[in-house]
Amino acid sequence: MNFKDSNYMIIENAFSTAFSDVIETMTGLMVKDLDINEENEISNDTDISGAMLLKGRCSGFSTISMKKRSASVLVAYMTGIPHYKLNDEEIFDGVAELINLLSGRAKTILKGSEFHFELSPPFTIVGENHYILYKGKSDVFRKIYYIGNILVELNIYFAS
Amino acid sequence: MKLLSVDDSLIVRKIIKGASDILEFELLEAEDGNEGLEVLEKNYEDISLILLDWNMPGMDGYSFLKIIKADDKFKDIPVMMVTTESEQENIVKAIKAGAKHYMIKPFSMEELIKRVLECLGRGGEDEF
Repeated sequence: MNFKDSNYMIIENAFSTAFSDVIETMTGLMVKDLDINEENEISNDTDISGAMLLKGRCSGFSTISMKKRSASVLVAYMTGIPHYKLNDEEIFDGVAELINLLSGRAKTILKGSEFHFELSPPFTIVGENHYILYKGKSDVFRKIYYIGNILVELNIYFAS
Repeated sequence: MKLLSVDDSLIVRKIIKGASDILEFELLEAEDGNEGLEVLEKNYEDISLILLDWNMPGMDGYSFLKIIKADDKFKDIPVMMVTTESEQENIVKAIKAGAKHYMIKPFSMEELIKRVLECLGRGGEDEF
C-alpha cells in the first residue's frame, strides 16, 4: 500500500464495492475477492482486458483482465446467450461494458469526495498472455476475484 | 408491440433483446442518436417505448431526446433512459426534457422487464 493508506483504502473500497455490485447484478453470480499471491496471480495469463482512463484528482487507469473463455461465460450470464454462441465482437463489447459499468459505479461512490474522477470511453485489449504496462508515477490497487470458478483481475492505477 | 433500443453497446442491446423476447415484443436497434432517428422515422407509428442510453458517439442520448420531444411525430412515444449517468442533476435534466422513466446501469434482467412493463402501463412482475 502507498498513497497514504487512508486514501488507498477509500479508492480500494469504492472499486471493490463497484466490482461486486456490477458483476452480481448483471450476471447473478456471487463474487469472492482474494489478495493477490504467487498462486493466483494471473497478470501474465490473460487474453482480454477491459480498460478505461480516469481523469481527476486521482488520474489513472482501471482494467479488468481474464481469459477469453472466462469473458465468454460472464457475457453469457449477462445476456442469456450460451457462451459457445457468442462471437468475438459480443465478447469484446461485453468486457468493455463491464469495465464501463464498474468504473461508472465507482465514480458514483466517490462522487463528492476528493477522489472524484471523469471517465474515458471504455476499450478492450485482446491478445494471448498480454501484459499492460502503465507508465508514470502511480500506485496500483490489485485484486483477484473468483466469480464461480472464473478468475478476474482488477487493477486500478492511480497517480497520487 | 415494438421497442427501440438506442445504445452504442452491442451487449446492452443484446440484454434488452433478451427482455424483449421474454415479453414477446419486437426490438429495433440503433447504435447512436443519428441512427435512432433514422429507425424512428421509418417505424414511429409502431414503436411503443424507446430505451435510450446517454453517452454515445455521434449524437448522444440527451440530444436525441430533445429532438424527438420537439417533433410532433415522435413526442408522444415514451422514453426510458437506460444509462450509467447517475448524478441527480442529469436525472432531473432528462425528466425535464421529456424522459418518462430513468434506469441506472447496472440492472438485472428482472428489473429491466419490470421497468419496461411499468413504462408501458402494464404493471410489474405480475404480468408474466
